[in-house]
Amino acid sequence: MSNPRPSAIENCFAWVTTHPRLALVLSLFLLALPLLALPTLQKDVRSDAFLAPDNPALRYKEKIQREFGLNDPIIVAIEDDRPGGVFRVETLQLLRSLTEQIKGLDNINRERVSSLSTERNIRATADEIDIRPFLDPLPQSAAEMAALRNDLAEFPVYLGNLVSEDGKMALIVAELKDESAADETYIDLRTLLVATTVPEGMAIHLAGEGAIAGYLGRYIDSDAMRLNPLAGIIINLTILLAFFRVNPALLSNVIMLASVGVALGTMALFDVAFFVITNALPVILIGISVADAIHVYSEYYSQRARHPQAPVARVVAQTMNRMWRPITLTSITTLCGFLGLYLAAFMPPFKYFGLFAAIGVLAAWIFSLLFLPAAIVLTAPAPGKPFLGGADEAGGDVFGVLITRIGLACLRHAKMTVTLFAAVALAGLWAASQLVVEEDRIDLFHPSEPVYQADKAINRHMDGTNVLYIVIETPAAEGLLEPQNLQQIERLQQFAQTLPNVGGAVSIVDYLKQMNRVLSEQRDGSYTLPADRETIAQYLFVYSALADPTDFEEEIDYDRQTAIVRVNLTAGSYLSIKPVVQELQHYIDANISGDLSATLSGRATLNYYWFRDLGASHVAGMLAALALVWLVSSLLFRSFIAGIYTLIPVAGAVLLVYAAMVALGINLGIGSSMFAAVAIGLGVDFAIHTLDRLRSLYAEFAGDEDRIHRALFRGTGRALLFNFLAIACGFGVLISSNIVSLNQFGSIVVLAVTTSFLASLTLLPALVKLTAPQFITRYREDNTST
Amino acid sequence: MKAIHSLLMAALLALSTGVQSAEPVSASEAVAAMTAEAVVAAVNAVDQGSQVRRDIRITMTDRNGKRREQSSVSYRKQYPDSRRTVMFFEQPANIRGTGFLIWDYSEPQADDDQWLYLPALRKARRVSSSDRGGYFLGTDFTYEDMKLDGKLEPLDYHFALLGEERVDGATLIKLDAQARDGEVAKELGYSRTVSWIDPANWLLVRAEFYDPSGELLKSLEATDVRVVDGIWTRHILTMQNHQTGHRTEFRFSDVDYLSPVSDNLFSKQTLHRGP
Repeated sequence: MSNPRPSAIENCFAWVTTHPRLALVLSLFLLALPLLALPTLQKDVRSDAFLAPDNPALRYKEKIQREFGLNDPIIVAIEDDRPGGVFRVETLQLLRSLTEQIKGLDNINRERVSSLSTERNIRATADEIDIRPFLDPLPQSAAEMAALRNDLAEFPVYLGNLVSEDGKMALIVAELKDESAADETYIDLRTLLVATTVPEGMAIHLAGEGAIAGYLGRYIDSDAMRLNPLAGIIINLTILLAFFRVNPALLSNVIMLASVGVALGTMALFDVAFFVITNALPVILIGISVADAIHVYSEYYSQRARHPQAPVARVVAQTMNRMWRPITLTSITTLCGFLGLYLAAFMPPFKYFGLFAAIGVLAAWIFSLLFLPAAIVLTAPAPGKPFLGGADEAGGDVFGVLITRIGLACLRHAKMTVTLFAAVALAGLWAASQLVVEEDRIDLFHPSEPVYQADKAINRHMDGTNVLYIVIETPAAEGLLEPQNLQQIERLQQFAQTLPNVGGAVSIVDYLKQMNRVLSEQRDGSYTLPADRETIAQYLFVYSALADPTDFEEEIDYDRQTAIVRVNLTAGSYLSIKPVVQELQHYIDANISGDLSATLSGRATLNYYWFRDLGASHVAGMLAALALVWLVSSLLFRSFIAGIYTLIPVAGAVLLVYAAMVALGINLGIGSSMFAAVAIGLGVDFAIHTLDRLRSLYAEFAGDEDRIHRALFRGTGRALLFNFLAIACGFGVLISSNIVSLNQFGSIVVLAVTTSFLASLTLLPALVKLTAPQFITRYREDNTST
Repeated sequence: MKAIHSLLMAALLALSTGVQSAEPVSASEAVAAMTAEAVVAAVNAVDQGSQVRRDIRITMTDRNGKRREQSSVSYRKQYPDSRRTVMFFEQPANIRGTGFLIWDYSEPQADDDQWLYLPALRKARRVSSSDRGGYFLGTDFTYEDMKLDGKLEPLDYHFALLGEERVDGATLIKLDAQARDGEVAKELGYSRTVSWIDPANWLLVRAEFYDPSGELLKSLEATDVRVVDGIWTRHILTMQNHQTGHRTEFRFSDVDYLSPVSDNLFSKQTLHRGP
């Protein structure tokens, strides 16, 4: 009987193995363009990056920020626990001198630096109005210091904002000229503060969204510098352990480089920024990209061990003819997981993470099919110890034996195995209903980080570092001079101050009340709004006339048509912001009337919206990944039932992760929310390899279960173990990340992938044994393998 | 008239700065031979009148292009010990009747006196003197800018000539002024200024102001320069703050240096009554 005509795919591999140098050049050429673009990759660590650029809430916030000149500031906090707190000559001198030095820094907008040393007090007597800086002259005696404290107590606008009510902390709030250069400014400030002599009992902190953005840039870089080499080393060790040869490790490194280089280079080519969570991308791709190579090498070494005299090119061609299908299919399912994230996620960093991870997987697949066979032909590696000793002994090392024992034990107790997994799934289903969405941007940092501690210290003493704006608008210019409108703002502000986690609120109303108190000589010192429009207009004129032209810029616009109530929150987590945003919205809907409208904005409001979307984004990403993976698996096995079987291990893994999250008190946040889609795409590979192999073995051994299972565990099981170890190590490295979200993401994916791996090698064979599905038992291979 | 004035002034200055020549000198040669100090002396010698009455329209524009306009009538009179200025606001309507009075003493060490009258409070109050670098009535001009009104203060700066520059068809003298020390820079808010002076009338027609860290802070343009009652007068002053995006325009009209200005205008009581 003549040999069947080679397929197009077989012709391709025949060409690759007979023209290895050309194939090598071709594959490296594919890498060139993305690598050239790589240096242009830009970081974007802003909190706003989590919202789509055309998001209406984000656009409104940007408009308000533009009109009111509001930028995320860097905050320098001087905390003094000594008697008198910050009201000591030495501390106030330091405050004044630091304020001046900060004003002189390159990227600091010197017109937008505020501290007690830049602000002025308003005092008035029957004959005089006195507006002068609080610290000019600097108080020296105890009486002068007491007078300053008294002045501040009588001008409550600054209490809680620039100096704490307990007198233990004073702030310097500085805005940046160019927010994209926040990291350089952070370093400048850090250098300045390190050079400052700080006496015992005093501490200087650096915080604020500007500092977070600045620090995060450096933080990500140093994290990446540590994680990526670590992932590379661990994966290389795993490969060395699997094959006892250097060649697979060396060639796998090229595939890793290709996968990471193409993913990041394509990001740069398409002007997509490197976000906080993108830091996980290289590490993950390092783990995923070598999986195909592990399977190719396992097969190649087995073949060479069986046919030591056969020409290398032919062995490689045969290896690829056998392996292209499972590695293509597993690459497609991994792609599906990431594409599920891309299609379903609402937030740009997640979407792009999904998209470019998929591109990285695609690059790894191309390199595994093009570069790898060519390079193996050229280097002709000989099989290592685990593969020597003949066909029956291949995979007979400790790893193969271990997997075989575990697999066979589970098969002996197939019903118990299925019951155990069912119990885990039920617990996971219950846990899923208990999951809580919670996220706090400061929790990106490890609690030992200075920026984390600074944030906590400032929130302990001051009104809070998390800012929510209520934007008040009237249809006509000067509408806000109407007393009834100002009274509505006053009531809204008072309501805001009753809400949980609200440290304080400031608006133009406070300045007017202060002006009214000092200028109208109210003997009882009452703190009330002026009663008529003219007085209000004249007070605003006096204040703006005697202060800087931009003094009121943050409170009211030039037309007196739009004003801002700034609400400070002492906590920035979703659950802390949620009641404030919701209660304020209810109040606005029920009470703001007439010409007035009020809209919630500012960082806290925006964070509320995107934190809130994390839950929905998670569910959508997971469902999209499940659907795509099911569809691809069904097409692959030409059976919808088979599609369901492939999902069982990953669905079980996701449910187990839910149970673990609830048990360990881990909330659904930035890191944890994207685990499901990724875990499904990765975990399903084990199921596909297992079912594909089981199907072939059922055909090959005509249903002899003992031979089928032994062959499955020694061959595929062993290869899957190293595939699993490579992926688990890649994600496992993330556990050591200093970015808490990535750390959680890594832990959870490792747990999910471990569960998928174990379920694929124990639960799936058990289920097949118990249910004998037709897509396995009635399968006949068209071509018997070599 | 402009040419004669210029020629006379240049010849005068050439003599006063010790430029000696056997040959007669042209106006431009005389200017070219001047020292920075001579230029400063020429600028400071420009007649501003012993008194003036004028309408002032102040237009302030913020970073977003939103404008606020105020109009007032202003009187200024020179006294042996001080220069006194009063402004009565007429627009917008809700601040009509607001008055602002300044006694600006010649003695450099003396703090100025200022009073403000608010109709809503029906009372004039003394305003504690603002520092020299403080902003004048919420505009982009500082009190010092207003006080100098185009003059140059040799006590605060070291001057140096930067040569000549053609601007809009006129050849202007470019003059550099460096604050004498950091303390002065901090007090004024300027570490350096660069001024463009028109030698035809010795008026300062353009200036740049640099903040204490050396960055460009503001720039000034003086336009609509013409002679009123024999006195060269700048009718539009525009100050642009490059760091805040804020801009202020002072537009002077109905300038009158000749009609009598009553001493009574510069009292606290008149602030209450109006002009």
